[in-house]
Amino acid sequence: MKRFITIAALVFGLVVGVVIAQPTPEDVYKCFAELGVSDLQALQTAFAKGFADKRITPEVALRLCQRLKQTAAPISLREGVLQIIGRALVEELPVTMLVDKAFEGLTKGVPLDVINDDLLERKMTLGEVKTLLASKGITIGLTIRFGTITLQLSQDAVDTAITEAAGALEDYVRGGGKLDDANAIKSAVQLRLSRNPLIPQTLTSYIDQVVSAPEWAQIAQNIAKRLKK
Amino acid sequence: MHEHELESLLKETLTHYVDAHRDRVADLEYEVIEELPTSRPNPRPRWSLIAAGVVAVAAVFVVGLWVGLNFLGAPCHDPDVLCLVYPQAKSVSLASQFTLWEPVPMNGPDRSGVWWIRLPKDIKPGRYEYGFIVDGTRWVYDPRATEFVHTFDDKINSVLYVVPKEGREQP
Repeated sequence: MKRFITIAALVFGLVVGVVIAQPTPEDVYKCFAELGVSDLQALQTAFAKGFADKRITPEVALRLCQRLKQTAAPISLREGVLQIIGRALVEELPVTMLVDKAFEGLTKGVPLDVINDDLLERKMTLGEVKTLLASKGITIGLTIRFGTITLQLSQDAVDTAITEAAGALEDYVRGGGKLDDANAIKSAVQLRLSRNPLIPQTLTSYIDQVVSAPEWAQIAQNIAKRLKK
Repeated sequence: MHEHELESLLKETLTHYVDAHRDRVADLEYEVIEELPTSRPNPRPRWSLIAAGVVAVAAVFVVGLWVGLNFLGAPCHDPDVLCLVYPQAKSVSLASQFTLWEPVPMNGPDRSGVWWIRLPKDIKPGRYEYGFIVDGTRWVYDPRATEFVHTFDDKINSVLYVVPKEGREQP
């Protein structure tokens, strides 16, 4: 019995320790303050919305802030990364791609001004894709009926579809794909959507039906203009 | 009666008595042995032997691991393992979306110059870009990947899809 109580106490202590070790939003805001951002209140508000909407976790936000703290660059550039992501959160855009590109750029030693330009450009693409899909009624809560299958879209499914479509268009343009080949552009988007296991096949098929090739091509051309390609 | 007379009388009496009962004490030794319990008490554990056994098992494990890593080669046939052939590298790390692009050192090289790393067991299904960092500076894509994308500075990322075992997730 004594041994059982000891083991139970150890397990309880471990669980409590793990829970306590999880970063909180307050840890993130403290890091922002230590970074010396110019508008702490605005960043706090934006990231608080992101945490509430579950588009970013305090753990990831804290790690990004810590990585930025280690970077030897002007504070305006370091803050710029957080501001772009913060604005995306306020606009209810998925930020996975932006956060990911920020980390990738920092790891590869890409200058922060280049990272900021990249994030800004990708944020615009995410916005355009979200607007296009929303114009087709593809928003959170939409019920799609495909034969016998009924699907109600979750935020995760919609956000992942926006992220993947935007990513496919970015990769197509950056990879030197032909901008006048609308069908190739649409195929690239559909292939990306179909390969991601987090996007239900029903949604991929629905997008294929309701979004035309020229509509995807228009966004690709906008990207090319922004990238001066 | 003198003391020496008493002593000789006692000796004579005792000798006579023992001679009279010799046949009764002849098998006494065997009778006592037979009366003893047949099971022996448990010996104390031989800690030195146990310690030697543990050391031997550990040594076999370490040698086996070393032989496995150096002579049997990297487990690149395993779909959960990423590999890179780079014999001249001094170190190779994996950087990926699932590590938030933090470099994670890879195992190796084996005798063929192959570096390898096993995907985390708790990796979630999804699409992940990744690449290898050779000797801390050089970005190298995975030639075994089935999809590639251009990224910063025209570098190339490899792409990995992790599919849930139970099939496609529902929203």
